[in-house]
Amino acid sequence: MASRDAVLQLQGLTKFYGNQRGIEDLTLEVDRGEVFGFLGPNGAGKTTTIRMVLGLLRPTRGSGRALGLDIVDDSTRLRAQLGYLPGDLALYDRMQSRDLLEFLARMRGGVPRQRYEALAERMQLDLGRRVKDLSRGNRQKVGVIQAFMHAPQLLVLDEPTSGLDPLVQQEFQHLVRETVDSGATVFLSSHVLAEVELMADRVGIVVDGRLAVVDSVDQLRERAARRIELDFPAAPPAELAGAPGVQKVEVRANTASCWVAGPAGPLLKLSVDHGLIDVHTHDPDLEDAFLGYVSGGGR
Amino acid sequence: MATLTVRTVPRAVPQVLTLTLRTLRERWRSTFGWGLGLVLIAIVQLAVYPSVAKSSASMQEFVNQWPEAFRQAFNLDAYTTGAGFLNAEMFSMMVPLVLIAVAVSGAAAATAGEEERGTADLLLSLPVSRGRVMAAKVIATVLAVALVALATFVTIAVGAPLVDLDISAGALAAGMTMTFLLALFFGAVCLFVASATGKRALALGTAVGLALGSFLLNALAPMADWLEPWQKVSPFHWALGDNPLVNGLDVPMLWLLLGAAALLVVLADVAYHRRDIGGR
Repeated sequence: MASRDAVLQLQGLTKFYGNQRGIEDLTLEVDRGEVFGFLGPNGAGKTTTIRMVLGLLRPTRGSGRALGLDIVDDSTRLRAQLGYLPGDLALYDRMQSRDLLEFLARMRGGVPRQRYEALAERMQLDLGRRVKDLSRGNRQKVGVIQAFMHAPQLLVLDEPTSGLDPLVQQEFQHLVRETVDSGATVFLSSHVLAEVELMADRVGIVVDGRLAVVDSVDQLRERAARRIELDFPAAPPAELAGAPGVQKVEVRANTASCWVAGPAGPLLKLSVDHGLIDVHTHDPDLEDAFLGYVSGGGR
Repeated sequence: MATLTVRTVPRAVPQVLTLTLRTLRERWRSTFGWGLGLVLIAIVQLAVYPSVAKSSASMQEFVNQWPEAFRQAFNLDAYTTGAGFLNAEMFSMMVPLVLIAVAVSGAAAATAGEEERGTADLLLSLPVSRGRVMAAKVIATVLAVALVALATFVTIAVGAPLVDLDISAGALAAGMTMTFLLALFFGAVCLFVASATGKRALALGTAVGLALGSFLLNALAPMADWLEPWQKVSPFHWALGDNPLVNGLDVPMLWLLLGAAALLVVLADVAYHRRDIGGR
């Protein structure tokens, strides 16, 4: 368990709200310097987990350590090293963004003003406006800035890109990459696969309050069935469905759409034997893996 | 990108001070409004005092015709003396009401208000313990109530000699202090409910309901025999039953109010530490 470089270790972490399950028996390790994507549909227990790490919720059972500190007993000391972006971000509406960031900086014992000003410039946020006059996307920028400004060791980001426009999302992805390169660790939750796919090194998929799988993005993609379209001179042979790795076949006229996990060689060989005319491949999408876990409940 | 440094928990005093000032600034408009209202009422009352005093004999005669219980309820005996007039017009209702309003609204906004607005997430993600958050919120609320009480005290203390209203600064201070503590007590009730449940409206309702109930109990008890023994449980009676404008500070009751408020704040802090914040 006590692997040296684990920045976040959760051990059987469980939270029930009365009878309702938030998350159950979550055991997970996140290593220093990685971007860990915590993936799952809304209501799966991602936010509950994050709120326990922040000390906002008390675990019903289980324990967790982050940066060597207990998430319950050493919560305040831990939070000094954490950057947090709430999923349902609420800010002090009547303040100017600049005053708000300065207040948060002081509560952290001081952060050089240049830090948040530089971040605001990067994200193209006007700090002089009152929070309540900002668009949702601009508020989210304030949230991102306050999470990054004190150069924390561990960033916990709950649905970080929600509300950000695509250009800003790209800037945000660069920011995450640079932060990780400087030695920090990022734990981010999302229900959007595409963004996790772009940013994360490893992914944990949580469904219905349980962790279904943890794997590297590459592995997951490899395991994910990809779609290969095969054109034949006549109706495709029925044997296609029996080829190794083929999970599903759909036939339309002389074209067969095959979902394949693992090497496609055997399928193609079989197809060539039946007079294959053309092949169209589609990039494997994590979505497929993800959907597999969501609908099938894992395994 | 800056290199990573190990950050520590900031020292308590500057951190609590930062949050206290932030909270005061947030409460400033409402505090100022209540304070201005109470000061204006005091000025109006002082302004009518000379005419009350001029017709003192007939006024007292007029007041004496009212039922005794009613006179007691609103401190109308000795209406035309300085202390009697202030008791009847200011301290039997207006001053406690406004100070309680400031205390209770501040307490409701403190923990439950932040939770309901969702800003508690951001605040409690900072390296600040819930105990320090509680301390800052309590200090800010106490200061807001004190500010309104002080403004009213100064208004009356400065204005009274101008209209020949006979009241010593010491007696006035005693009355204001007891009322201030009364307000803190109900503020503490509100803070406890708010911190235990996270529900702002419930906390407000409980504290305002209790304040209103104990006001009525204290006021009506002299009129009904069966109610009279219960007057002793009313915090209004603890604070003002001994007529501090005439008799000065009621020290045992002062400690009772202060102790009860402090105990409620401690209980609020314990409850707040156990709370799950917004398990949405």
